[in-house]
Amino acid sequence: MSLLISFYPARGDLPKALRLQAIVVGALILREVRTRFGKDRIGYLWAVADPCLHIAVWFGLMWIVRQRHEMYGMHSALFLASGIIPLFFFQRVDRYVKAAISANQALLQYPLVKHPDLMIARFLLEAGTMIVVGIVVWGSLMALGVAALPDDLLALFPVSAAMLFLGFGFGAFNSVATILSPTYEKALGLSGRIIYLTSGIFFSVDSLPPQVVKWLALNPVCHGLSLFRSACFHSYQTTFASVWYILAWALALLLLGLAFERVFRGAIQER
Amino acid sequence: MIWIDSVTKIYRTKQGRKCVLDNVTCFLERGRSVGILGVNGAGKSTLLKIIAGAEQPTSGKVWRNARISWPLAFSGAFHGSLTGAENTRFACRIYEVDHEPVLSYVQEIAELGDDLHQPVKTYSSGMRARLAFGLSLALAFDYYLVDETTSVGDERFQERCRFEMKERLKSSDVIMVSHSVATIRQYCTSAAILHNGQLSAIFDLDEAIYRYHHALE
Repeated sequence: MSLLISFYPARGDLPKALRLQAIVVGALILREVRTRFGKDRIGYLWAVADPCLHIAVWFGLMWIVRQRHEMYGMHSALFLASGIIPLFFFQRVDRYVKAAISANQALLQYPLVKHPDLMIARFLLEAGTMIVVGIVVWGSLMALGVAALPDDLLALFPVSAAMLFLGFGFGAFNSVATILSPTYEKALGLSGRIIYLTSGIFFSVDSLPPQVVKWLALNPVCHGLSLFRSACFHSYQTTFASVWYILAWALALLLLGLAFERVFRGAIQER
Repeated sequence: MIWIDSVTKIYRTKQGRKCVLDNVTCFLERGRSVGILGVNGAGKSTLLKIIAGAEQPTSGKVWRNARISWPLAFSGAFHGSLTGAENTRFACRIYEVDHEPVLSYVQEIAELGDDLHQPVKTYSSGMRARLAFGLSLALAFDYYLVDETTSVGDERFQERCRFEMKERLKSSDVIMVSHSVATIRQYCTSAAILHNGQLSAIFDLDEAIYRYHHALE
């Protein structure tokens, strides 16, 4: 049996290196599908059920507090969904990419597999999954008669892409930082909760006083939720949010994560 | 060929910096299987990983102009949650090889039966070793980097390993690290000694063994 194996691409041979990376990332995505969705495919159901549960819990809480299912002039399930969906774009991608290296230690024994390949594969898979999940959740609300088609469909694309990319940036940085410092992992749990609660899932940041908005607007996720809602509803106008602010965070963290990876590559391999 | 060019590897431990490889230089030509003898903890596995490119040297560089395997050890580069077959397909994909013939070859050598479709984490160490061995032999490399893999499994499997490995040696070379002279003698005609972070020149096997025993005293 004679089988051919690719050579290592020479230094500076960019087309060959990119081709090899595409092959490795493709193989990694197929490998990730197995554990992301499980053997019995229950994972596909869970991927959709997860945001629905979040919406249901917040819906219940809002009902207990306010005794009505109306928020900011719309059905509260709709208002919550328009916050949970972009939040999940960010949060789930971040969470999944964060574990990219630690969950694949064994595969790093193949010299062809590099740390960034693991991050990219997980980003692509989870971003694709979350887009489908978002469509299914919104579609379900439409089927229930709660939601209509988003008012400005085109405006959904940049904010969705920015939120997915933000998740990638956070995840890439966190995947390296959590391996290098176990303390950081603990701090991350706290900061994750702060980001979640201040992002504006169950309230509209835009209707708060400017002194408060000034502080909440530091959180890039806040921008994403506000932009997402203003794309969904003409009646909702964002007062502060900028897609560039989200992208700046995403890019800065991604570059920092990749730089850390490069500098501490040896140390990561030894863990 | 493989050219190990002034490679140094330093690990940071709680006791301070530990120099595992100290300015190692070695030129390995095609057509010669080389053993690397060293006591446990001499840095043999580290050297093999650096040759493979799975680990980065602290300084220095490895130049490769050949198809080189990943370091073959008992455990294999397997993901525990995936089945043996899925792990095999993953390796085939990254090395761009058709997986059907590889799967049947692996099944034939490793004799895992239906267990090939069970997660690798449920395997015994013997089963993992058989899978690792079958998979690495199914892919044709110029150099096989072997980390004492062949000394696992029962008598019959070891016999099989020897036979298949000898077949491969007709067109490929082996770089094998071991602390055991007997293992190296089976596959290599020359060897170098790794001692205190220094790699000796490559000697004829008998001379290398003599020097190895001398260094141990």
